[in-house]
Amino acid sequence: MAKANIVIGSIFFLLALLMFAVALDFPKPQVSGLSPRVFPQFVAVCTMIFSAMLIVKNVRLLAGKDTVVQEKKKLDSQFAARFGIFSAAGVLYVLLIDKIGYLIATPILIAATMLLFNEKRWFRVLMVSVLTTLILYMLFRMVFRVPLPRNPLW
Amino acid sequence: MSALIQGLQFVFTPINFLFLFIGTAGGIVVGAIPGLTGSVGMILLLPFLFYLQPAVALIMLAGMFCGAIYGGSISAILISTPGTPSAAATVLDGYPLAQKGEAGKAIGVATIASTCGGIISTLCLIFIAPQLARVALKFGPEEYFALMVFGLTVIASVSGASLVKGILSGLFGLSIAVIGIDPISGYDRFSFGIPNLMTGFPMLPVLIGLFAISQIFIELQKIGQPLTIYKQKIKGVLPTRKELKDLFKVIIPSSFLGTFIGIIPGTGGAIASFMAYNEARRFSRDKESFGEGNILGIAAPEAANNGTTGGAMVPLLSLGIPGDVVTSVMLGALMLVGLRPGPLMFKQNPEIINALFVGFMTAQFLILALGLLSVRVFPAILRVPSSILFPVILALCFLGSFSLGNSVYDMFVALMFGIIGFFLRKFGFAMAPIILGIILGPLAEQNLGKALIISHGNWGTLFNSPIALFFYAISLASVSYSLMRMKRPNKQH
Repeated sequence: MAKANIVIGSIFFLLALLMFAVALDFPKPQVSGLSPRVFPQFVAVCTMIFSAMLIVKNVRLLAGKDTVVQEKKKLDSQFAARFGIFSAAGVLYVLLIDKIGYLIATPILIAATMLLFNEKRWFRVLMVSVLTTLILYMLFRMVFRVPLPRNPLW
Repeated sequence: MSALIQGLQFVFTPINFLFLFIGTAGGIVVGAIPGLTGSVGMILLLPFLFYLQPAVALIMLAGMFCGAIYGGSISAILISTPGTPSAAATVLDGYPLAQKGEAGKAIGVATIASTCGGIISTLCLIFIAPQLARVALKFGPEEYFALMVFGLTVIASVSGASLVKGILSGLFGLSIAVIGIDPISGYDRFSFGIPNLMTGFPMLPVLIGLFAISQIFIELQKIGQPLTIYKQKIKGVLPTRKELKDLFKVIIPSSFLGTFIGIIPGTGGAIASFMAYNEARRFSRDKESFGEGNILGIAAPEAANNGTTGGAMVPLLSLGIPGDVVTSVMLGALMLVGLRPGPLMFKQNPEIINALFVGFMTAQFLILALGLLSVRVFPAILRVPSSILFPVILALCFLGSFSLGNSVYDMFVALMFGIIGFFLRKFGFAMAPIILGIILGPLAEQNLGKALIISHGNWGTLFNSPIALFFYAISLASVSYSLMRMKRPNKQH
């Protein structure tokens, strides 16, 4: 956990530094009123301070100066694979939904996620993915009139 | 009186009552399923709420809020896994009683206690919130800025285990909020010429990503863990008359305690329920039986945690600042359906407030009816496999993100914030401060801007008002209290 905290703290710090630097180009404070740079820079400075605190605390932990036991919560490889597949499925869904339409993309996404969740019964996968898609489609397309992405061929 | 009649007429219109019923029943189901909380339930409900009148959306959310807090007790009693954090104390006596074959009585007691807690807290909400709103109507930008600062200090209380991480989460929320066109100067900030970023990140996909999609990622980690099932037959739901008499001696003070704790921003059901449990045990003549299935040990936390529901609505409705995690999400949800909680709502939309009060009260009776009548169905709710539940939720998340702006970009935002949310949660960063930052940050900036324009750039104006100074003082007290609480290990846990 300590290493992860240092990494996350560093990311926060760098993002805040970037935010502060970008905000330098915003208009300078006016005589009255609030300049658009004041609030972002205030947030950036606070983020830098607190992320530095997080980094220092965890560097000390890593160095063994503190007695708190380090937790070993590493992403196991099986979960990492699932995480990667799930994220990729989500990205693919978002990229393809405009091209293949909601009615084709969604059952594939649901079925893929069910399989990822270790569902082994194919009939159940088929039924849940198709029925859920149809129910959601009817509700949002026909009742709420949401223009869901359609397959260009239809 | 006319306000009450107006509220009754609205809520008891068949279609409005149906929505309240769906919200409450949905809340009970969501609360009962471990892994789903009231916050997630409200976010999943949001895509549907856009198509309803704001007042109907509000009573549906209220039903979901109260139902979820109660629903958490079901899994706490049946499988020793609190469905929501506020039901953690219910496990202590609820589960042992269920193991003795008296799950029906345990759920019956939890239902009665939750209903009473909810009714008492709703009455307090009805009497306190309008008075507080009347005072808040006199606020100027200086007072509002101070109030938002106070609202932001709630971050310290909902930070989870680490205050530094909680504050960083809040600052992350504030950073997200400053992206897009500055409402005061009209200057475009951090959009880097990308048109989609000029209006900032859309709130609904951000909420869906941080709370719901990140939860699906977390559930992916649990694959392979066996599903805990309650197999015994449930019977004997109602307590005896003598037991009821003893129960009410605990339920009434616990309800008031819960309501009082709920009113204090940054507390919530978990604190209230443990405090009520401790008090019930302290005043009991039979202390030894606590932890072994004493019905008073179920009634006290359940009355208190449902007591917090009305309490937490007091600062939300009258001041526009959320009291806990769920009301933070509720504030976001209400803003998305076009309602801005705060004192002006009492003046401009009294019919919505009346509907909410009646809806909130009705939800308590629905909990009583649903809890007692469907007690035998509850074990089945807990048997829904995650391989069906979470893929369906994922489809709903994407569809919900798309539906507001009819934009595939919004789906991408939801997924991106889902991944960010997962990593943040995995490494101990709470989600509630992010929402508080996103919602309260811009309000704080706008009121600061207004105050400075009115005072011709005099920063001293922020400290001229006694009300503002009062809010700064309680902000300081709130942060100090959180710091003390984190340094001192919690004996109750």
